[in-house]
Amino acid sequence: MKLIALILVLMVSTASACRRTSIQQTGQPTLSPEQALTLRQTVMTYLECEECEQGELEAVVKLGQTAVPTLSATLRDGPSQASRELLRRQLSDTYRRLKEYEKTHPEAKVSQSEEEYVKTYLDNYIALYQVRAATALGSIGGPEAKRALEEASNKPLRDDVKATIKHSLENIK
Amino acid sequence: MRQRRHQIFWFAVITFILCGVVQVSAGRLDLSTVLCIDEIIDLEPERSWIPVGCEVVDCCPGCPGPPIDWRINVRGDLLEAVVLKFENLAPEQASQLGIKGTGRWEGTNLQVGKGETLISGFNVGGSSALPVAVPRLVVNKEGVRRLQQTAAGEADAGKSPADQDKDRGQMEVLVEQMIGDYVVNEFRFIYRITRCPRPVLPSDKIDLDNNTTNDSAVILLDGRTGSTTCADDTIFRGSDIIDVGSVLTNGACNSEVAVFSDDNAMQFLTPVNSWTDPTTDVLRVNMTPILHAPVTFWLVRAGELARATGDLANANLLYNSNNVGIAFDGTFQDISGTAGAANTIGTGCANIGAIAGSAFFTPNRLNVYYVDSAFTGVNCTGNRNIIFVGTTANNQTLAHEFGHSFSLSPANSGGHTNGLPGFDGTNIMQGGGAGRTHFSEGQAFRMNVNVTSTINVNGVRTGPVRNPACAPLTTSNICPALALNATPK
Repeated sequence: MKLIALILVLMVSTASACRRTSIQQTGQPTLSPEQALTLRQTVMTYLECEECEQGELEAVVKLGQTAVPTLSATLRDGPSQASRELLRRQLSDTYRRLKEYEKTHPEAKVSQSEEEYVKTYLDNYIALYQVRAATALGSIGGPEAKRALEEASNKPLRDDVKATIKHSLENIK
Repeated sequence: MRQRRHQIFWFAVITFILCGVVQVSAGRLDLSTVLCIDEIIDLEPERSWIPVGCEVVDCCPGCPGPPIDWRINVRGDLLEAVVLKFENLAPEQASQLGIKGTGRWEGTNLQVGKGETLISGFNVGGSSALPVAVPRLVVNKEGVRRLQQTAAGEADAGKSPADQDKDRGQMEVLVEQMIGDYVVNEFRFIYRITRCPRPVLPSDKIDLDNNTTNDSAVILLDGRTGSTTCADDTIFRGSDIIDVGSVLTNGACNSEVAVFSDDNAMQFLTPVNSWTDPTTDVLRVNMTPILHAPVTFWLVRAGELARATGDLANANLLYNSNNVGIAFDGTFQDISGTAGAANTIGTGCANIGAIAGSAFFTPNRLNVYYVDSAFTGVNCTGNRNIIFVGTTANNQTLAHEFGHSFSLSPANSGGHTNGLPGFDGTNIMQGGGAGRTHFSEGQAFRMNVNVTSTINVNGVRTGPVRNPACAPLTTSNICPALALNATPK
């Protein structure tokens, strides 16, 4: 019996140490690798969803305060450098294909230069992330989320992002 | 003693699971494609780049800082190695990276053999350009040759294309970027290998006339191929006269032919009653000009003409390069300064009644509204001829919404392909993402022939239809699997 009790205590304490979402001195919650992976995938699915009719926002809200640091950083800085670089290459490649296609299909004309084309969609991409982050922060609520929204509201952001931040701040709990 | 061993065993198992020692599998699938054996040469996955860095901007809450390590897994009998050609990585930087496993540098090209390899010590940040790897797969040529011989032997032995074993294994490359134990980004490429369409000779034939660009068309064939054997969506490729094996009189089999080729409309012959038992039949298919779907673009928000033009061009490119057989002809109406327009149109599907009764709507065609609201896009369930595009749409959003309008809906029943077997992040009906470039033949078939597709509802297409429509997730002898796909297009 003593052995069983000892095993149970060990199990509980080990599990607790492994799984606990603790707050470090930095204010960042410490997640286990698999918790961090779930958080990243859930947040990314929401940040990039098209119509978002399949519970993507609800899944992020369900993560609660755990998601607030990532969402706050996303509201402040937009997509990561790696994600931007990937998109920039995809857009440049698409532009070159469009220009090639235009030679045999004049009706499919692109009026922008490559630089303008890439900028248009890269700007939208950054705004998309910020809009989604602001929406999720407003839905999750709490002092940290509110602080992130307030800080962002003072920054020179696009009008559509600003409007979303304003709406989130008006409705945040 | 035995009981104690059990207790220790279960303690170990539970602790193992709770501590997450089990490797977490990567969720994102960047490329999952099917190749037939003859197409396997050294492969450079299309539009595949692997930038060094995290997927989300804060990497992971509270996880340790840089450097980033790469855990690379190369799997599959036919795969010898993957070569990662690095850009923005100086040779001296490359030489400082640690390697555990089969990796070796040739300049800034890293060749990684089969199994698991760890590359450690990427330092990113600062103002320097991000290192980016471009992958190229090196295949085992001897293995490919053996597989080709096996497939040829099956054809020689008289097996019909439908009866030849399709599954020939797969090749996979997985690159996980890690900070400590945390996976912060991943890229995954899978190639599933199948036999190439290899008809038994002598063979019946399909003769394509007026195949505009002499494109390698995709043919889906249903018909009787044995006394009681029905071929169902057997794929053949060719630009002119194509051997399709022995196709017999229909008997109890469904018999039809669908042909997809770029710059031509999709041809759907159903039923085909001309097959006879001797292998002397030639089925002539006249490839007609591509269908032109008229689209009115209503620019409610000022300054959207360039973006709308670019979106339209990309939709045309994507539908054409995937052999869908539909092109879009745009008419642009700038109503950003028109009194009452923004109020009537609103910013979403709640206003479709008012829109359809207003001057800002053209009946029997697609109407796309570029509005001043922060969302991507939506095709309205209540009126599939109405599409809204918001300020945060990407360059594939419009093509995606056209797909919904063409009966690839609802989103949660196959209209979106997220997580469906046979689909990856490159499919245009993926519910998000910026790397969407592909439609499957299963999707192209539905967009063309479903009675509910606006291409038929609007009278742009007048050929035979599926009524009732093939729902995205319905597969039967008359509805090809949604994921049915032929590559390259």
